[in-house]
Amino acid sequence: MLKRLRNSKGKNITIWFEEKPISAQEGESVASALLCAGVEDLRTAPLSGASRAPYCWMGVCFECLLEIDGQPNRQSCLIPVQEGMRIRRPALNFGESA
Amino acid sequence: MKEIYDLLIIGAGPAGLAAAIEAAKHKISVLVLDEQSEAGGQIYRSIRTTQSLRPETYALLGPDYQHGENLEKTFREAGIEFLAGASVWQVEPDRALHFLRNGKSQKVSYRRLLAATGALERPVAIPGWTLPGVMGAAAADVLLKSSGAVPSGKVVLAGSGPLLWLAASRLVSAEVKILAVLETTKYAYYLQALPYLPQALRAAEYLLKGLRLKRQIRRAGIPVFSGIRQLRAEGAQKLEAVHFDHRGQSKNFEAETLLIHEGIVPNTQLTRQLGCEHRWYERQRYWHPLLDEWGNSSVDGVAVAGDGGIVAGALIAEASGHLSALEAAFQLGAIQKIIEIRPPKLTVKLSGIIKRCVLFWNSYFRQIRKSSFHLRRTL
Repeated sequence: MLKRLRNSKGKNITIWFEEKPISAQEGESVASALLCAGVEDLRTAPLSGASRAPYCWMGVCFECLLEIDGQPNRQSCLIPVQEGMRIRRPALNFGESA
Repeated sequence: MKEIYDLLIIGAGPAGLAAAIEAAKHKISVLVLDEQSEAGGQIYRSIRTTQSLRPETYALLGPDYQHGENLEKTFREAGIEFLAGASVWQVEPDRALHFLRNGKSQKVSYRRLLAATGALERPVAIPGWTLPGVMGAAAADVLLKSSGAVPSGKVVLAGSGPLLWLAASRLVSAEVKILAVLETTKYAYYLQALPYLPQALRAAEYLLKGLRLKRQIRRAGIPVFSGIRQLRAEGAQKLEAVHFDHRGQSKNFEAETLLIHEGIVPNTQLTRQLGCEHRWYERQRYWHPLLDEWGNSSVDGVAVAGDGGIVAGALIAEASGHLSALEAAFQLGAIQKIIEIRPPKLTVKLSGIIKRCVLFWNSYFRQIRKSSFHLRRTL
């Protein structure tokens, strides 16, 4: 769904999404790295089960919430990628990830 | 971090940065918090990273973005305390505030609070707007700044306002495949706007800028549909098609990305929680905190600078940041009397030809005057 405009001068970084390695670049957000790697949706709406992906890219819509390094509900469009990050989709049911 | 600060600034965009720089000159203690990972706000989002790691994207973003370079640098070199990645989640009436950073909640107290929380893209719900592939047009612009990424497939833009055209123009420069721009503005609105044209000519450079953006889109061969209605996004698990009515005919485009934009509105979460009085601004159609000419809200010790008060753009935000910081310094007793209000020193690099500089300088002053006009209107 997304592509990098140009390769960045930053380091290549490996992050892990649902236990699979994804190649990312220093200085980009977690959400952007995932969508550049072909991930199409980040979460499902808890009630309808519909797929959701980032809408605002600035921290107000909360459609990019992911579990990052064991912490649930992180705003992945605000968080820069770091080597070895472990990222998961949020658990569908409230309370499970807590 | 100290327990208490003279001035606590929320937001490190143009208003917050200018306020911090000004306040630091008057020797009052300042802490700046921002939920983004670096200073710049949305207009100058990730400016330092973009400049150092993505120079081609930095060049593509042009002078409106690059104007932030000096501001960010001046702020950084002033050694002002700054916590990035800090999300404010609670303000208490006793001048204390809680924020979340690196998964931990912290508390800090303040004598004066400056909300420089900026604006957010007006959310406009259309059928199918929650489908993956649908996002804001300004959001796409922010994505380009923050991560150097653009939509990979076919794109349709829909809505109205200058940022729609700016986003489209930058995507054209980035060689993104744009199928169409759908303008939701009704023809009747152009007629209704006509009486304002003579007044608007006083800021002709803005009109020219808009015309240039539109011309770039048309030159790229992108069809523009004006006065569209019944916009909707369709798809099973993600966006597959954009439908709309144009001159009584229903039309559609198969696209992977739909970018919607209907202007930006003040981010009032903080001022709402503080209980500041808000007013409806009919011309720009949003609620905003009621402010005096120095940016003071109806709550003692709480001021607002920049687009979080009235959406007027980055240059006015910068000027209002300076004014709010002077007011803070005055109220805190750091300066005795404000004898003369001098416009803040221009932070733009004067590298262009002299004529451009003069034009810019003039428009800058005009904006300051306009800004104080806006503020007076709200009294």
